Amino acid sequence: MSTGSSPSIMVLIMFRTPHATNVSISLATAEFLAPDWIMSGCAAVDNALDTAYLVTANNAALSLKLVEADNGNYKTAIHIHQLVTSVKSMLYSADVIVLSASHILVTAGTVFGEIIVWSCFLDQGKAIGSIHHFFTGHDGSIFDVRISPQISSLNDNQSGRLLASCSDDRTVRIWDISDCEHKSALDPSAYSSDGFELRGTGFGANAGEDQVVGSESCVAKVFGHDARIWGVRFHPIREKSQTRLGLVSHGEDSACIIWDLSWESSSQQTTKYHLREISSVHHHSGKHIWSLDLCAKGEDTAVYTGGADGALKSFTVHEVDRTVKKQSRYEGWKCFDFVAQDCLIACSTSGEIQLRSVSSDTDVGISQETLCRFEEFRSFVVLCGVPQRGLALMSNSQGRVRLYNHSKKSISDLLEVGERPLGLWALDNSTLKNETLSFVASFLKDDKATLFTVTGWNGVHPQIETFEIYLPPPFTVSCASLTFGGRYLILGSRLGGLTVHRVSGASKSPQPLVNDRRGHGHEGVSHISTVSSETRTDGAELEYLLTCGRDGNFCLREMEVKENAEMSLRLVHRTSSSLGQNICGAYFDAKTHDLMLYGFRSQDFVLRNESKQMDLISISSGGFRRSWVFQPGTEGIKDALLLWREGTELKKVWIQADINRSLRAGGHGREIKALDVFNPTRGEQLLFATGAEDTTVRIFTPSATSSASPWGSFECLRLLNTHNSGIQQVSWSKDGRYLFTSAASEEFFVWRVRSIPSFGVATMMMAASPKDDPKSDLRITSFDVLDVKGESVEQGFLICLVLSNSTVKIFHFSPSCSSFTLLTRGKYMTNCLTQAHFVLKDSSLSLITAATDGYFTLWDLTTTLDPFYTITSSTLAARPSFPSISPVEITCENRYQIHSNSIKAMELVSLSDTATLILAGGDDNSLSVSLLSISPSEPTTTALVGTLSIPDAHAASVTAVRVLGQSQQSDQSLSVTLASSGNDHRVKIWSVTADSTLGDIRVEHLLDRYSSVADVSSLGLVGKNQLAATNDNTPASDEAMPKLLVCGVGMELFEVDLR
Amino acid sequence: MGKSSKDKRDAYYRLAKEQNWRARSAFKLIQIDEQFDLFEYENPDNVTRVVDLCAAPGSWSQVLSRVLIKGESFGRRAWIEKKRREGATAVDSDIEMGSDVSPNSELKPRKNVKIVSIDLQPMAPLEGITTLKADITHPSTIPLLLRALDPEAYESLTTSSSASPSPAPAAIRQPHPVDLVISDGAPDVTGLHDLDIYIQSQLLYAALNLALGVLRPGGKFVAKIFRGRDVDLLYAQLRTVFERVSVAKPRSSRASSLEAFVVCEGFIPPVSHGGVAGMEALKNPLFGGAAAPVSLSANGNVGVQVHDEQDESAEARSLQQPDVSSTLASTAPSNHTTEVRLLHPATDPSPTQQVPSDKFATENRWIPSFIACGDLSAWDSDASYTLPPDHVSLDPVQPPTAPPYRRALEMRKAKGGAYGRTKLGALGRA
Repeated sequence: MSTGSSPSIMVLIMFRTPHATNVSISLATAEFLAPDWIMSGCAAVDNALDTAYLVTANNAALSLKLVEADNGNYKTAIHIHQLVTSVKSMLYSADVIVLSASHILVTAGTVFGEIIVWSCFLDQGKAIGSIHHFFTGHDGSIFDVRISPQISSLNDNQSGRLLASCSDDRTVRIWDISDCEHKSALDPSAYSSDGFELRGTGFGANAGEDQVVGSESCVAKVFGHDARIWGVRFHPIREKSQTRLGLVSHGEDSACIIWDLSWESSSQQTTKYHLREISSVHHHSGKHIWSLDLCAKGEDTAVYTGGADGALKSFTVHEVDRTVKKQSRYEGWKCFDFVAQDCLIACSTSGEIQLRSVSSDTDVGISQETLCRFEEFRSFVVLCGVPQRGLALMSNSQGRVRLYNHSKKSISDLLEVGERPLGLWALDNSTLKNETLSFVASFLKDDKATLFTVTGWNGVHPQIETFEIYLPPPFTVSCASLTFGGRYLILGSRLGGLTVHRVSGASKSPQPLVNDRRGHGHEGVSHISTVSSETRTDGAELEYLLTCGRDGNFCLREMEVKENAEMSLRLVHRTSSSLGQNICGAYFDAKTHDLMLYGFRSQDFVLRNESKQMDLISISSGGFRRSWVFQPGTEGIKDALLLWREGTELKKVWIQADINRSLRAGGHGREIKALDVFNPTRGEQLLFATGAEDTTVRIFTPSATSSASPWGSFECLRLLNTHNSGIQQVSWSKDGRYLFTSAASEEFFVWRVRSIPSFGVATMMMAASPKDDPKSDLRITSFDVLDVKGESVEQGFLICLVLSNSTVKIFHFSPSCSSFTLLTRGKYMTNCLTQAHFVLKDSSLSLITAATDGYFTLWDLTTTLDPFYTITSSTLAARPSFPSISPVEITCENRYQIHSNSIKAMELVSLSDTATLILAGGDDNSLSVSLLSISPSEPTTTALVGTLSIPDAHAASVTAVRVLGQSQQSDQSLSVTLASSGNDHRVKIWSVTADSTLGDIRVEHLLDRYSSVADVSSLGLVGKNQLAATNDNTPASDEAMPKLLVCGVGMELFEVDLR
Repeated sequence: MGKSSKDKRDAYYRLAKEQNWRARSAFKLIQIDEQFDLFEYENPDNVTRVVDLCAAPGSWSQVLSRVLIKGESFGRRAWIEKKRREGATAVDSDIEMGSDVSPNSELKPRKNVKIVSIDLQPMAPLEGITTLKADITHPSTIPLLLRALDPEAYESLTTSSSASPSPAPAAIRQPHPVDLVISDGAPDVTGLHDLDIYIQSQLLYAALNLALGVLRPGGKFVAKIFRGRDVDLLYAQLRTVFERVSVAKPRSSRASSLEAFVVCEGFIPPVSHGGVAGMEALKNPLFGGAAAPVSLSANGNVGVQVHDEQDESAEARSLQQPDVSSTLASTAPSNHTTEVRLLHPATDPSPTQQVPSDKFATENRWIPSFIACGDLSAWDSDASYTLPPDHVSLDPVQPPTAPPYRRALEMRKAKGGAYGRTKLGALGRA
């Protein structure tokens, strides 16, 4: 909302700009509390640099003065005095400007839909309030009001001022407040200043009854945005005789709308206003653009926006509508392609081969040069550019292929493919020698293609090798690539298929080694390229292939060639991009190594930085059915270039790498509900997964370098958007190779996570848990996962899911066949379950669940799961084969009330073979520590629980607890450091000591800190277990210092030093 | 979410429709009453005059009307009464009853009932209840409320004072103050947490300021709060004018929401009001951002310097034994023992007058006891339920009040626009 809607804390900061390039900010005063929230503020007129005026959220005007400080660290202090209050309404917005040394103009937008325009007149130390306007008409709360700069010609060429407002009702309205400028303290107030007779509210429904009050109406009104409008700003347009103003609004729909306000004024009539939408900009993910400001630089205005996704972005609005594209006559080309970074080769309808170099200057057109003319090209031509090598291939209907060499600008006959080709696919592989040129020709008959390898193409007698390959029909080639130094050929089809052929060496085969018919669903494969390669210790060679398809996915495939030449292709990553269905290509940015995708979203060409989750540009080019070519930029030399045919014109756009800036890339678009940190044990990368209400899971790593990168402290490595509902929990497997996620609609997914050179974290959804009802809308509120040692080498997992309808389901998951086996299920009362934790002891296994009624339940699993597993020394091993018996139900036997309302957080710490410490936080503000003692022989019947409850642990719900460290004091005694947090924005650290023989629990409160994260849902420990580290008496270095990660509405990282 | 899936997801939504309540929030008031005996069933004359603030669509007023005017009883109380009539002596708390029980057939209407309901939104009339369409934060609402509560007294005072030079009645000693003020008001949340919590607190302060002017000594005040940041400041403020302050969470309010209710009992009129309630006092409200700021220094500066957080080592402290033993312990089975320790030292529970100091300071914070209302075996507002196969989804008793963006929706629909789209992600962008 408006700039000042922070809590009632005020910090005054001083800017010093000795050089334009070097800006420093320093505090000039300590932090002071104002008596109420500040909605707006402005500096006093020029000759009183030490004074400012503020408007509070209850419509009072305050004055702020800088005075000499009595003591302390600062030379100056802040004095705040209340000047006057107007109608004591609750405000969502205000704007204040100073008209003269004695006249302050205030506009206030109330929660209940009114706009109050009033002045505060200063007269010899006295402040007098006077109301000028009481505007009603908005149907909802006023979220922003803005006073325009002075307008030179408004009503009958008189100067004036306008007021812009926006509201819950999705309208932007303009009001004329020109008269306020000339008011003085002597003029009578239009309404009594305490507002006693201002009956009713501004809501439109009331307007009929209170005609007397607030009958003034707006001068312009227009609907915009799909949701609430949070703010509006004027942006000036410099004109001699002003008849226009710009407006920028931002809203809950995460859009910015650019408006044009124009007027016609004459002496006879009242001024007529027109407000219309110019364009709409969407750069943020999720909901809400909360903040916006403008900075005018000449004809351009930079717009900065901040969203609920934590991103800070900017774009530019031009005063004059200046299109970036210039066109040239198209003259009926049949086809065109790049032959160099900035040069096109084209064939005209008359069979002329033309060259067009594209100037890097946007204002100069495209120069043209005709090389030669081939009569046969009038009827048919296939063209294929190889810009990386300055070559182009072209074929006539007879299959006669010619080669164009850009360095000589010469065309020569190359070879005959034998029949009319459907397409030519140049295979550019950097591992090939420069004198070798390979390409594939595909034909109308869709069961074969031919690979041509031309050696010495530059010489007089090129050597030509042909290899005919068979394809699984229907297979219309849409892209092609060579891997492993030209040993294997990968082809993609227009129906989503992928094939691999071995095309060199003794074992080359015309039949495909791999035939993945649905590599990209039913849609065309649009891109295949090699990302990286590595050699494994066992001698196997690996290459990683990036493929994109019109199914909207980009995938990473691992191609493995063993020493015995056995080859396999395996999918290791698949993500759908928000670019949409039509992904046409991908590349890695030369400078940043970010993954760039391009394609079409409806009628627009979109270039997207997938790594930073942001569209670089969206160009209205008429969609992918029009002829177009795109060339990525090269580092430091050229911008990316898009050319497309529009009617009889060829249009071009140079795309600068920094056209839209992301000052901060941001994260989740809505609040984070779940977090789990994978702290590496064997030198892997530290990762943490977060799941949010925006239905996405993100994988982050703490940034090495913070401030300069758009990621800030958290770099998002991957975004998983397969879930269809809000995420409830995320957990890593112990070794970090698997990620488990749960959500509403009974979704539980298992992901395989790998680290791939040059690509980074690769994620692949392996399986989803089975549901009883395919349309289930139950939430899987929590789950727990235990490692299972298999009889074979393959590991497995024991998984317990708890649901919102009180159901518990226990599955075995086998990663090798991606299958779930239901082992048992049970039902707690009718309450929503909130927590699930396995308790694995030496030879027994039980389960603890918690629910919204404040009880936790102990379930014995040892006997029920005995047909499936053996339990020895706290490890679970699967029996060789599972008996095919129908699942036995487990029953709820022992339950213990530890909270008076929902249990929202729980952690378990094993104390001994028989004792477990349960640390829980509840909706009842309390933190509880329970000591659970189970006899191994009679697990549930003899379970004893002793609970220590702290009812005033937090001021609001305790929503997260996390064990930071533990140290065994003796066989039966344990000390635990615990962090807790909740809706009161506090992070507290506790020390818990428990002795199982004495049944004694002691808790000490250690620390209490404010966190700016609202709705904290989870805490994570980043780094080493601290108490374990201190026990070896080595001073921990800075890097080893563990950090506490707080997630909720945003993320925050705390350093915790408990030494 | 469709009607039927909302029935599954939200048991109280379904029950409200089945039991003819205008909104599911009726159960919240019923469950608070079960715990706190708001309506004093044993002494019905103690609660006859009630003000319902932010009343629309009117479910709380419905409860007032059915309990006070018609004399019905609901929930657990109805069930206990039924048992008593049937001669059953033992009350088995394990039997599921919750809010399913139909109202008692034996009606006990009260005498001299006066109920005034105020809301911004128009509200369908309820028999015997005076409804006012007004803004509780707006000063002009005060005369409206006073007139509605005591029409004769107000008229005589205003006519007599109109002859005097003062334009408005300076102070009215309420001849018949009210016994209970309730407020279920909340703003449409924006999603900006600090702002939503601030606006909700200002609404609560506005309700409290109104209550101060009309409540009898010993009267009660129940209002919705958001349990978020700095809610302990708000609790501490309430304790200055009430003997007992509790925070109540009815089972019908989702554990996943910040919502809870403050139940304040034993109103102590503030000294500064001098026992005079009325317009003058309300024009200068005592609480919230609308209250006139108090200066801490001689020069009239209302800004207060913020001091750094305390030294870390000073914060570590042991927990304390409470004065009274816990309620949890007494009901727990033999295989479960419970001890209670308090983080904050027990302070003098008697209300203290506001000391002007840094209002965010720890001495101005207080956490009342949290009380979950409604039987734990009652319907769970967070759980999903399986509906019987022949379940018929009823229409709501009252259609929801028109949203402010109704016209925007109508316009988009008329233009064949994207109305009906549920996911913002489908906007064709990130």
